[in-house]
Amino acid sequence: MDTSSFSETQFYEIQPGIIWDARVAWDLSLGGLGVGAFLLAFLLWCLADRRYRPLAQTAAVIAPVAVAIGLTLLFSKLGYKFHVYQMGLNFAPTSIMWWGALLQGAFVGLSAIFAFRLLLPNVSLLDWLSARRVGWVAVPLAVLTGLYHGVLLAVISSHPLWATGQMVIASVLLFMITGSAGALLVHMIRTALLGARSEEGSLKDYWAGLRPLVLVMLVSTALLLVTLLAWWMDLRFGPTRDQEVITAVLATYGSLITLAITALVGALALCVAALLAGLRGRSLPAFATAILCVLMLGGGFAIRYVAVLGGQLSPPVSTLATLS
Amino acid sequence: MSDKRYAMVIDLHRCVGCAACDIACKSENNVPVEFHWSNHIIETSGTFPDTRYNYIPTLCNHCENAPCVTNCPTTAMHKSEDGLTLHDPDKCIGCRLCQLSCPYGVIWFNKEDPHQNFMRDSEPAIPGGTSTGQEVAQAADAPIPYYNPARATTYQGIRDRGMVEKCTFCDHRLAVGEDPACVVACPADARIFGDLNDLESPPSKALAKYTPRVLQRDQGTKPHVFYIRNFNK
Repeated sequence: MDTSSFSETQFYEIQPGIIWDARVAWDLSLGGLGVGAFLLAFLLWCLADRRYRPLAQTAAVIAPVAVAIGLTLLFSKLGYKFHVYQMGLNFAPTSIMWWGALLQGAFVGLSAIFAFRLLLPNVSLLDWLSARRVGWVAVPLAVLTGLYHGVLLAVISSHPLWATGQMVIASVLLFMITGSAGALLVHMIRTALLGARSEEGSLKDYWAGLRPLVLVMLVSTALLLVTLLAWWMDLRFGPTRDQEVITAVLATYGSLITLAITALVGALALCVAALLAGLRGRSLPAFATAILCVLMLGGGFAIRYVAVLGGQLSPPVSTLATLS
Repeated sequence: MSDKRYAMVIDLHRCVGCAACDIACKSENNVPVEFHWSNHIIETSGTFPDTRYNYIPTLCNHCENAPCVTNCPTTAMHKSEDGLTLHDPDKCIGCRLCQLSCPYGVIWFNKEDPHQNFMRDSEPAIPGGTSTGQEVAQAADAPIPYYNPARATTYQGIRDRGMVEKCTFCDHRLAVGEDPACVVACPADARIFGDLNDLESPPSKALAKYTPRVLQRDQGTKPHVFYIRNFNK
């Protein structure tokens, strides 16, 4: 007689596979980068002196381009692209995605005008749309868009990895980190290729002036690492379903998560090094600053990628235990 | 404004797990082979000879607080006046947010043109003796051999590639005063369908008599598919 014990067997056929693929991760990453870059551009343009205008210009150009590329990737994922106009024809205020489409559309338009005004301030075209006026309208849109990138997933309550406050907090911190890092990196590449502008002055003074930005990046990165820890704890010590999800995510993306955290810790260390060097009247070598930016961008994207794809690893399944 | 509030009660004591509901649904709604608008959970547990085999039929719960409706960015997924959760393919952009939002995994997405298995059926089962699926469809002047044109009266007869699709409680049958196909097909009368606003309707009576249960109550979706009794009582 076979007395082997059955572990509970479940057979429930639902559509397999990842529903939102890497293109969504890219969309959220590029969207965050664009939003962060815009806020940096606006702050530099409003608060910093003239030598940071070229950096503000670079960041301003990145903003609409990055968000638009992200939206294009998202568009390519739609099953029925020709119906996309329906989002404009139908009023769906309960849908976060509907709000997101409005916000991002408006943000791309306004940030493009802002970039135009910064690059070509003397052109009379659209003269009434001053950089300051457009910027102040676009700032709340940028913040809301950054929040949207997290809220979009956080409202999907059937997916435990997403339905957390940490999802939204991480999204905000990621746009602050990747926007600044992306803008700095692109500006460094531009400077290396085309040379520094005369108004940018000496490199040492230039980087000394960016110390507040490095401090913001440092604090944001540290907070992101704390958020990731809280995210893990929330799931690890949560209900059984949450524990299953975090186990599945770690089993599948453990290496990528390790790489991401290593990259962010490395970036954190370089931020500290940059600030310490500044206190001693010195600055980080250009290649170290570039590495710092790459680490932040790479770590940030990896977190987004794991969040989007990992959140779908363990799809919501009804079982006998869920019948009550 | 309709005064109806449709719901289904599934009596698990009566259900024999024959899956006639699943087959009837496929046939009625031209559902692709790999999709399961009407589906089921099977759980087997225990140690021989004390083993248990449990079977729970599942379908779209036509939730009162349907997350697929809340999150749809084009209102393609919507609630009808009589409480059905329906899908409008003319508005659908194929973003699949409804699929992600549904805690029950009952929404399906046409990654490819549906019924491709039939399109590839170019060999007759018995050469010289039977027709191919394609030949049958051509002779019947239908897109697929097993096509039900009645489905197309309220929804696409066969849904397009890039679209989602799901159970509609057979809204095309309700429109002409008939019960859903799965209800009619059930040989044990385990599926009880009707209007909850009518206190004398079969589901109202069943819910008054037995304690109703729903799947994933913690999701707060207020499903309109209820389960009563159990397998052995």
